[in-house]
Amino acid sequence: MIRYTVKRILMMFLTLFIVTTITFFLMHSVPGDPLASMAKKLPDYAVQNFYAKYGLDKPVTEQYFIFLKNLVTEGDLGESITKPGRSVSQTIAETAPISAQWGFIAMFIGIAIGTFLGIIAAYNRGKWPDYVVTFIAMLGVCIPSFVFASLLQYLLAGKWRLVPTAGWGKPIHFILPVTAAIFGPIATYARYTRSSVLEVLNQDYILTAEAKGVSRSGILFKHVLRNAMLPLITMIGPQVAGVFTGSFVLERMFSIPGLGRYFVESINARDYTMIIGTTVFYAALFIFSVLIVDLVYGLVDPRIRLSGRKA
Amino acid sequence: MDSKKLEEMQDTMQDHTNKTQNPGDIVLDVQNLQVSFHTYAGEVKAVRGIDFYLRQGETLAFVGESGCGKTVTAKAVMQLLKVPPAEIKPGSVINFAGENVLTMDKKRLRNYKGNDVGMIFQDAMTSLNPTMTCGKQIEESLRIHTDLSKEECKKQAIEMLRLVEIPNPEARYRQYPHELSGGMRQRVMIAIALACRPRIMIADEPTTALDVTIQAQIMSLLRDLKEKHNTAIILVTHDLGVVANFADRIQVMYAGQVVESGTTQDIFKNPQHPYTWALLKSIPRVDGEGKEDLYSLYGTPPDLILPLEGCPFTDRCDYAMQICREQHPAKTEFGNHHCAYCWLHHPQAPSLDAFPEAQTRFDQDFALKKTATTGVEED
Amino acid sequence: MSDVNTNTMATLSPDSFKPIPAADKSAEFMARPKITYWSDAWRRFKQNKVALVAGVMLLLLILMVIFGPMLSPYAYDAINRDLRHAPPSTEHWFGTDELGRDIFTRICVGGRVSIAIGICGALISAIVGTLYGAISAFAGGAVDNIMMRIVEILNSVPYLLVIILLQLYLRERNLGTMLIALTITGWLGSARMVRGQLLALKNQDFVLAARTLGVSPMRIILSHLIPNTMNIIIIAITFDIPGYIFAEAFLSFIGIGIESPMTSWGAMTSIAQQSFLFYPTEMLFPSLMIAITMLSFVLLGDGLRDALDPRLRD
Repeated sequence: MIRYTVKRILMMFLTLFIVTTITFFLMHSVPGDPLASMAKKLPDYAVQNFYAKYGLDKPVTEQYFIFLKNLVTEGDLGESITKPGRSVSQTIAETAPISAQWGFIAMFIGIAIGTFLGIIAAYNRGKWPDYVVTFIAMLGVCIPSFVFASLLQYLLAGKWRLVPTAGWGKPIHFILPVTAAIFGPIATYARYTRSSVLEVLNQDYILTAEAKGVSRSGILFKHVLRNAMLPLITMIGPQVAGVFTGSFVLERMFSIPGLGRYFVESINARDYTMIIGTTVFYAALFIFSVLIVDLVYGLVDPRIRLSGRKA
Repeated sequence: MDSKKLEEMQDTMQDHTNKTQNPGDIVLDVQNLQVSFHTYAGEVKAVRGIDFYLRQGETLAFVGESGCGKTVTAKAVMQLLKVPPAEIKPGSVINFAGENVLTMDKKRLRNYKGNDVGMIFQDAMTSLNPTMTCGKQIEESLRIHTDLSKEECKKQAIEMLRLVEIPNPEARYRQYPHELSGGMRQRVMIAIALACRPRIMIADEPTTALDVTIQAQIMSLLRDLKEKHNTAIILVTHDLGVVANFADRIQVMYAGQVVESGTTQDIFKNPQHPYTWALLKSIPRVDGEGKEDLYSLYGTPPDLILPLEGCPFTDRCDYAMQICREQHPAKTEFGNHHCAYCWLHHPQAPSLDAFPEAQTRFDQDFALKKTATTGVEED
Repeated sequence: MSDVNTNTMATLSPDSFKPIPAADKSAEFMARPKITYWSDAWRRFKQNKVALVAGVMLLLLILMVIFGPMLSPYAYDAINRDLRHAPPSTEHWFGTDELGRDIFTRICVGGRVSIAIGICGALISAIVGTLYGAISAFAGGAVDNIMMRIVEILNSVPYLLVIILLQLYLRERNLGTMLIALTITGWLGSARMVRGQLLALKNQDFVLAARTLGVSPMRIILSHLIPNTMNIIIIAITFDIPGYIFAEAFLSFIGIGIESPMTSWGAMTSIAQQSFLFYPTEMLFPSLMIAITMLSFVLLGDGLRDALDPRLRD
């Protein structure tokens, strides 16, 4: 288990390094340099200063090593190009907690509801609760979150005026984005829980439990849930990625000052330092959460706990 | 079984928790059991009206090829069939110690499973919960069926592990099934089934997934436990060799029906049905007359989706007659509860000499050689 | 022997007891008709009414996006400044957008982009993934190990980040570059799946049996490996298509999708979203198209999976 953990952590750093490198060189080899549009409007000496300030007058490889050095030693990701004076690390530190706040609330509510619905559906296979859950899951899979968000905004905020259309700061502002974002996890988890529970119900050991005289609820709680939920833990990692991508569109729609909105803004403004910084941050967060989820899974599943790796 | 005897039994066995029982009492009585599965292709009649009984401390073996209804019968007794698609047809009777299993309420049924009847499954690897320790799995039925405290349950579970001859039971108690070998897992399975000292134990192919040396160990363990606790056993198997020195009585099944039943002695020494002859003949012989090929019954059992009006064995039988196709043979009794269903025993039937091409000719000499190799004890 | 025969003692005709000649017996008689894999799959698929309806729906949608613009008198990029944000009418079936362009025509043209990206994306990733997975599975050893490490690393980067970076890098944004960006990591899933399936098949008894019987490797690939992998690839393609349609819509929505005046359903939704509190129908139509198309593909995929997955055969 320790060897496995160390191996995974090393693998994580390797991956992060590769991602950082690729992102850096990709962004620096975009046709035309990042300051070109700005340079047109400025006098030559100012442009010179600008280039020097961002280190763009140096060769790309040297820029890369400076970037790496600053990142590793100070956690410094550079300065925003379109908003001079704003450090990328600071922007992330200010905005990421906001995204995390509503994003993770949505994720956990979504997972809880989705799991619950999945169990209900599996236990009522072929009956109406199963069809209702399948229908909800289908909607969640087929309707993009931004469409669903628009619909909510139109009805709850526009038509019925129950909540403000957009904004941030009060608990009421959570309602729209969280509601819009939970549909994805609900759909995913309902579908997977349903099939996972059905699979476990078909296992021989359920028959053994029945032969022991274990009651229906005893079988559900002691035998089905543990075995059915274990594989679902590994899906939390990718779900974290869903929180980011959800934040890209929903924060723009609901004017939430989170990292997702800044990221999309920097994409549209071609703010390359900001894009590189945010990408590295997102990648790190994602890889790290997948690692944590896998390690937790290894701890709770006895079959992996001892052999030290997945079967 | 006559009704007077039934009443007597009901009187003596009112209290099902009373586990002191006399050998010879009938603990299980099944009559006209019919089980069907409803599939997209139609109704598959897996079990077609079978009768049997089981006395306390006795071992009854169900023998037959795959798909002949052995396991379905066992599961029906245990009430483990999924309804639907399975259906136990009206008219079927399953009585446990005089009590109708089919009309038991939920609570009684839960108590019946595990406490009155225990079951061992074929593949211990898949039949044990992978995420629960072996100890907890044994303890589970104790917690359900007894009033023992947590500590006592644990002690009892370790005791059970010792009983099934697992070395170092305290350590095994905390281990997960995948950490044990196949034979050990099957022992845990037996410990689970026996935890509450049930009166009947159903063993569904308990040794098929194991290698031969382990098979012998498990069978001898089962025999010891049976003798120690006077447990009645239903042994489901396709292997007549396993049965020979283990079962008291044998019931040969084919296509969801019983074709012959009797004591192990009778079945091995005086078999009366061509299917039993074929099964006996396909046991490998050590002594054989040399280069004789091992007999192998050709063909496959009929699809149980068919109505099967005559004898189901007709198309594979060396002694098939016109009548076999038309009508189901009636029961012929040979005394001492030995009976068979075959038209050859009809008074009008020709002698076996009328079938010169038959390969499964049965003779006394053949039977004796068989029994010598398979180990049925002589009286 | 005490033969207590309980048979009805009524005498039966002696003919009844004539032996049946061996030739008349049919021990291998099959009650159920023998069904081949593909005809059984087709039977199951036909039974699944939902999947059939989804299939028909998709056919209609594809016909609409192909022939729709021919029915419409308007060009998809014809601007009419006098008729901006017009509600649906007999002249403009779905109304007009912020530049007075006919939404029906734009839906059809945009639908071509969305559906083309969905189908081409899924096909490309299935082909690349199958080749990669097959090479990895057959090469084995160190090659397999390295190839799978690469997949692992690529897989541990959030998919949309890669697409966003590539979209920025490629600058020009048309159908071709969109496909490159979307499929660059899209094949990972099918590569893993095909490799897993092939490795499992390689060691399965029927393949071992065929090999022992001296069947040529080519024949084993043609008659065992391909048919047994085909089904999961078909299922994967059907399930990938809605994923690509969604990814395209997402990219368009955050402003790095296809460039105007060319459009897609995602791009139309994105533009309409800015004024949708006032003109909800402008957003309704393209998002409805996305939802219907994705739903149809998902339902079709479900139907195909149930029909093609032999483990579900009863």
